[in-house]
Amino acid sequence: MTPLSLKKIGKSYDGRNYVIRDLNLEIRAGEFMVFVGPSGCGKTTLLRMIAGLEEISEGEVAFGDSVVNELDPGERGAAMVFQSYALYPHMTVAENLGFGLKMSGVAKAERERAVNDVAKVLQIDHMLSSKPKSLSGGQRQRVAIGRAIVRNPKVFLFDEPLSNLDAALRVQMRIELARLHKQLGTTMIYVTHDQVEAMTLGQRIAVFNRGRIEQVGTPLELYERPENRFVAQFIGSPKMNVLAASGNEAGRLKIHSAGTIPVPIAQPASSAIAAIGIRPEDVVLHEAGTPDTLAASVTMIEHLGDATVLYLEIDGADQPVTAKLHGSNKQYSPGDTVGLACVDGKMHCFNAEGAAIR
Amino acid sequence: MYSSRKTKRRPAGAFTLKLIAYGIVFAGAVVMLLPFYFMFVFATHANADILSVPPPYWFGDHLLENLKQLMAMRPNFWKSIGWSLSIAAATTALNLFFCALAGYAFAMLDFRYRETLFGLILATLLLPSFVSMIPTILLMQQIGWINSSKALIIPGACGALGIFMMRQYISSVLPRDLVDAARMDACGEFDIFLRVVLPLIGPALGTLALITFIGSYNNFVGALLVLRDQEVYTLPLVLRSLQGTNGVTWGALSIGAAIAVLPLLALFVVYSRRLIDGLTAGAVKG
Repeated sequence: MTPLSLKKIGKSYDGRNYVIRDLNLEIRAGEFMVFVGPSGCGKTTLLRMIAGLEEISEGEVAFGDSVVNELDPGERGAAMVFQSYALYPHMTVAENLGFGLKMSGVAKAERERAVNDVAKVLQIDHMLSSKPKSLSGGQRQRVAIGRAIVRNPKVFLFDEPLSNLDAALRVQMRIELARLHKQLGTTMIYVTHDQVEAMTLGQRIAVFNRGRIEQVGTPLELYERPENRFVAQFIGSPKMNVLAASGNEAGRLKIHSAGTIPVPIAQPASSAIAAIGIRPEDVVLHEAGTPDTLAASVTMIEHLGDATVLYLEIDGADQPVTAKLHGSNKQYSPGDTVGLACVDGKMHCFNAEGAAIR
Repeated sequence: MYSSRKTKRRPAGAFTLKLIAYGIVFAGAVVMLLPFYFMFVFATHANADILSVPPPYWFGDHLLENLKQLMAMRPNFWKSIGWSLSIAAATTALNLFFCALAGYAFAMLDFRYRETLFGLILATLLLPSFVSMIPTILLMQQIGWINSSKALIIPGACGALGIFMMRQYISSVLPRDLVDAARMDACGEFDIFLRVVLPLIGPALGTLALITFIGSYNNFVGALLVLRDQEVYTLPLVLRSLQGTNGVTWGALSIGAAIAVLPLLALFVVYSRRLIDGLTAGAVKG
């Protein structure tokens, strides 16, 4: 098991504009680390820099104690699974699995044994003589994962490997990947823009935004104690409602023109509050006019089966507030007026720069 | 019985247009094929028949005599066919290798001034081949390659058209992830080219092979510049040498030309589909 250390990493294609700058991250040995963030935030670029497929403009990447900046991809001891599977179409499954070993000079007999072992683990041993074009998406993904496993790498790198699969297969492969990590215990880095994948697979998650890491933490830490508005709104679905707050007179915050609520945190930090955040699942709806609630009206309702999502309009806010209600007995209709509040202790506060205040 | 379904009828104008289009294509085909036809017809007639008015329109019985006459006039005729084929084969093999290698580099590797270099290479397509004639002769004289097959093989070993074709084809069919996967599998760039790229660009290689082989086999001007002795003449030069100042033996010339064209015809019949596929590959998104 190998830890990874990323120190002051920077990436620029033209020497002037940086897509990643001054990035530091320690990945523990045997950890399943997920890089998550919106498109173009630099997560895949960083993964490719770790793999050696992208030049490192600044900083240092170390596998254990060895700095690997100058090593070719094949010399780093990392294996990568690509979004597009990237199987060699002219080779059979067995040849695809064994190609890396062949290029590393492993003897034929040993290579065949390793390929057969991995094929059995991934239940693809019956298709070793097939070409990739005759396989389904899920089977191709297994072969791609097998190709990575067979080399017994120090680090696994996954670049959105499940994006091309349908929803049901994605769930199945997610479970298999988690099981594989448990079985192998190897350090894994997984890039995705899907926060469900991130939350379910990652032991820790690094949230990326514009070439920076906004926060690193366990899934629950990110969900419950986001360090800023970006992380708060990126993690969780539907995303967190953020409402501008002003005033803080007599211990009360004015939320747009929808009403006032008690300041949710202790003084004196409360003076800096510029916005509050309420997760949709923490929204509580009362009768209209209930004290300490915000006046809101229902604009749209989505029935998901296990939950109901309500979109509410509050005076002065340009975005609707989303409420996710589980097992509510009350039926709402568009146009209903309600009093909106938050579950005790679940409200988040942010200052003018977007940093969380606690 | 009445049916509400109406039969769709093409307007008469569309039919006429189609007729005109087919007529033009047919006329074009006749114009191009007639010389071939007469070449084969004249190969079976004596010189006097060929020069009569009107000339013969159908095959005669003078084939063997013409062949004997050709062999008497140019005893090294068969050798020159072998010579031409071997030069064309060597040129084609080298051209495929170097053009594919350069095409791969331009399509998949990031290096400084890549686009500028590619533009310069493409610009050489704009130069008429005659521009380089005198420098070629001087250069070949300087390095002592006059009368040597190297003088035809090496200059044809890589060309702008081939590089362009390969670059376009590789860009359109080869995903970058595949090359990256090979790099992760400890493949060096040359191994990637040999083991991953080459097996996947067969159609483009086939097309380029056909174009290069035909071009090299038919190369008259290039051979005329660097081959001086009849002993080392390629086929186009041998055929040209049959046209002397004391008249032309058309029957012998025609049978020589007919034999010369047979390997190319065979190649074309076998690979014409591939040629068309390769030339249009990457033109539309698949």
